[in-house]
Amino acid sequence: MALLDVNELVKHFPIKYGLFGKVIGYIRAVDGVSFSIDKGSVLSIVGESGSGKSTVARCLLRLLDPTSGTISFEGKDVLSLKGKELKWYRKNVQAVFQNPFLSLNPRMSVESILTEPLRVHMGMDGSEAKGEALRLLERVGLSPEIAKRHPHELSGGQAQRVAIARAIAPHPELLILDEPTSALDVSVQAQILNLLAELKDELGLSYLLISHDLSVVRYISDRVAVMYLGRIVEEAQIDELFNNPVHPYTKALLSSVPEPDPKARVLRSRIILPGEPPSPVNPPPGCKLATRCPYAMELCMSREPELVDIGGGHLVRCWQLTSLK
Amino acid sequence: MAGFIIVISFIALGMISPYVLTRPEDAWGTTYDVSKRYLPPSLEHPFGTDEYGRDMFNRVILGARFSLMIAVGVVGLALIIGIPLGLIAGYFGGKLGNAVMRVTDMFLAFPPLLLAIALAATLGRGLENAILSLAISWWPWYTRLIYVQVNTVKSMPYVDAAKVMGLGDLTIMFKHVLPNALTPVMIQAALDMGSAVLEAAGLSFLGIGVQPPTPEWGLLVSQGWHSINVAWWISFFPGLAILVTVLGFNLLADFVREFMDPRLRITMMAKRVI
Amino acid sequence: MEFLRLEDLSIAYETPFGLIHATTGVNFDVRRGESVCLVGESGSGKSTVGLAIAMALPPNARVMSGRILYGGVDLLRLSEEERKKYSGREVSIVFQDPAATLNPLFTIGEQISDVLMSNLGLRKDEALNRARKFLEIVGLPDSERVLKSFPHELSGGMLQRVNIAIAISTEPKVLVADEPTTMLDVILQAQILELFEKLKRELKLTLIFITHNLGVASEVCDRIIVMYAGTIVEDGPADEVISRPMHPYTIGLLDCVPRAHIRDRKLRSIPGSLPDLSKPLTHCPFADRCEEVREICTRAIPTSIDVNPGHRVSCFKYIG
Repeated sequence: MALLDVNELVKHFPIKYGLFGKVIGYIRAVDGVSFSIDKGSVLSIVGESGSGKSTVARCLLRLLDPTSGTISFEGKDVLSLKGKELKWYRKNVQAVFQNPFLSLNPRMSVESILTEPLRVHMGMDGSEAKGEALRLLERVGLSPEIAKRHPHELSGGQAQRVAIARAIAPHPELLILDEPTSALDVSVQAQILNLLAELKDELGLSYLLISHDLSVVRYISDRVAVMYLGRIVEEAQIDELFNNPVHPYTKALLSSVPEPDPKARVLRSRIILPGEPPSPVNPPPGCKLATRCPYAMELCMSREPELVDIGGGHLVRCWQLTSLK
Repeated sequence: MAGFIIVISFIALGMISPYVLTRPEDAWGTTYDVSKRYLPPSLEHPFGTDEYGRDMFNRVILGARFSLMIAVGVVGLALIIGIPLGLIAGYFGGKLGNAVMRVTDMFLAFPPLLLAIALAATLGRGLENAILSLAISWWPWYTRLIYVQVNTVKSMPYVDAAKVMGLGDLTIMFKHVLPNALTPVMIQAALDMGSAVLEAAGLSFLGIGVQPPTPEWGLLVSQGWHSINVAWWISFFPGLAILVTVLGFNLLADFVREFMDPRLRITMMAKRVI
Repeated sequence: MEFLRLEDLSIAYETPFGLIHATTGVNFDVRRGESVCLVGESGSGKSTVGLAIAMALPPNARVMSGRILYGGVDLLRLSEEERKKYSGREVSIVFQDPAATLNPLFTIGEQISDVLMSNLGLRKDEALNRARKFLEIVGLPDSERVLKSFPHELSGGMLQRVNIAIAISTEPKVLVADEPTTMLDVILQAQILELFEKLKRELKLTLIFITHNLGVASEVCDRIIVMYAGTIVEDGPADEVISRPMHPYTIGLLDCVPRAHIRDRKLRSIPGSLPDLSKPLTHCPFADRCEEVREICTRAIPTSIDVNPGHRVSCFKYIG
């Protein structure tokens, strides 16, 4: 049984207009997304802005209520959890957000930030909590004097480490990482990625990594799902996706990643998609990529393909599998 | 900078004035000496004397205390009413939030001074009622300010993080949202004290609010009004005190605004952009 | 005479926290038609250099020393009058945030024609014609519609193309691009980088491209200048700097970039963090993070030395 199972998750945001807030349309941010995460593994969801990946994360964290679909964690239906059971879920599913200067309360000292989850979920108090907080700081590579500081006194890397320490404090099973390195400098990014990799092995964590950066995803994931306009268009084991991308969007995404090494660049087959994604308010009826896809046929414009397993757990949503493979 | 000095002096004066009076009976209005009526400003009486022979200098000094009391009382009470309302409306939003804000808007629609006058006239005269009626006309501004701030703060990632942490609404409201929403309101409140002094003076001038013999500045101006031709100093010096105090607060407000804005911008720049 | 020369450029910002030294002693020449990438992380000073060249420094910037010579003229010491001849005309700039430089209250047409009318003295209809031409060059064939639109009606990618169009519409000799794709998604970024390639070729622009992404740098430019804490640490042909980096910082930077196209590489990271920029530089700024640090690195500032024609490094490892 998988640790986390998501089935046909849908989230539509109503667009209201006028004095009385009449609903005139919907932003179809997530339009039917299914995936699962096995214990101890890392699934990444990759997509550009507007793909719906962050919305998926927010639904999983119950910061948003999905329009439809089911989420189950260790077999339990997440969306119906209340009271003690909800608290159990919160203890086990934690998050690290993109910008640590925004995700840490600027008025709290690092020590208070870390003791909060210890009090809520581990029943620790006073000196016991403070001691554990210092241990957490050490675990993420920070010195104990950081405990008395406030977030704005820290560097980006240090602040994100504090955010990670806070997330692992209640001993969760699953960490949802929403663009954890996008706001950091390159050299700091590497430090944080290494830390995340270590923690995963040491603490037996599972990760859901949301990112727009394919290089980051490659470094740390076991499986990757590519999202476009609210749908998963391709999903595969990590090396398989990078070595053998099938969906035109995945290919375009991969070939757009700037590659420093000129030798490696030559090996890449370039597709650059023209134009921009259509609005998620009125997505085209067929395949969402049809308006930009170099291989689009009439069928693609009118009917949306299903996700098909082309072998070894490699899923693709495209009508032209035989020619593209 | 000048604003800062003036405001500090005002506050200090307000706090210590009863203890530094040279002629306390004159200040408190417990005596009169008819032989000393209407004396113009001199070395012995720097601000002259009034129609009861009381030394105006002492009266004005003591007056600072009452003005300070009123300023703090009005603003404090308005905060106590306004902040919880704005916090609840902002955090929960929806129908509750709308309802609260509509009521707030209703109060905002009244010209504040007019409302204060009407309330004071209804409630009766006196210092406490003056404070109460001004506070009631004042709280909607703070509710609105806090409401806007809370709306911004509640969509911040650290509030999301608090929810993900499993904290309850009440805890989040008071521990995470309120402290971060408070700053602009507190700054505004501190600066509003100047306006409170002015409005209180207005009320006393009109005869509502503080009653004689309390030497509140507005009242002093009012009392000196009918003798303005023969004894200009009775209205002049209290009036000057009001002017300088309010000016001080306004200058401080400008300074604070200037100080806060680019400083925040430059802090952000220094962190990311160079 | 060199086309563009930066000589011993030291710029600091006045802040409530004191003077922050953004660049110290920056020296480099640019030939006509060259495309140079300034690469570095935050605090490297790369943006400051770019802004200085475009004469777009913020009001709290102080030029502590140095010159920027363009055709012999020091761009930093021009009068208001003289500045108008260069800024926007000879040298143009494209910024990072596509929406920030456009006024939300005016249409694109009004904003482009304003720029052209004031910089080139054209009439309104002439300006609009020219605008149409450049909008097509940047890949917006639907130029009529774009001209009539307000900024909020266009997407980020289109806005950035508009900004590029405005910047090149005065046919400048030098184009400074300050992280123009950082705020765009990766596919859009690829489109815009392709556009820069095309502009480079067809308009023979001299391009100063600022980025923190080494991949972007090597795709767009012939030459890479790596900056750290306000100084140039390495400067050479793009391919050579990437495949044969010499400065420990460049090596470290390349090692810590995760790569989509290369598998199974252990990600190394650079320990430590930037030095305090409020103190002027007294020794090699990378010393306390450098694996190969020696005694002299903590005492003196390294000068630059040629390790190959056109490739220089500022590091005591290579100085006798």
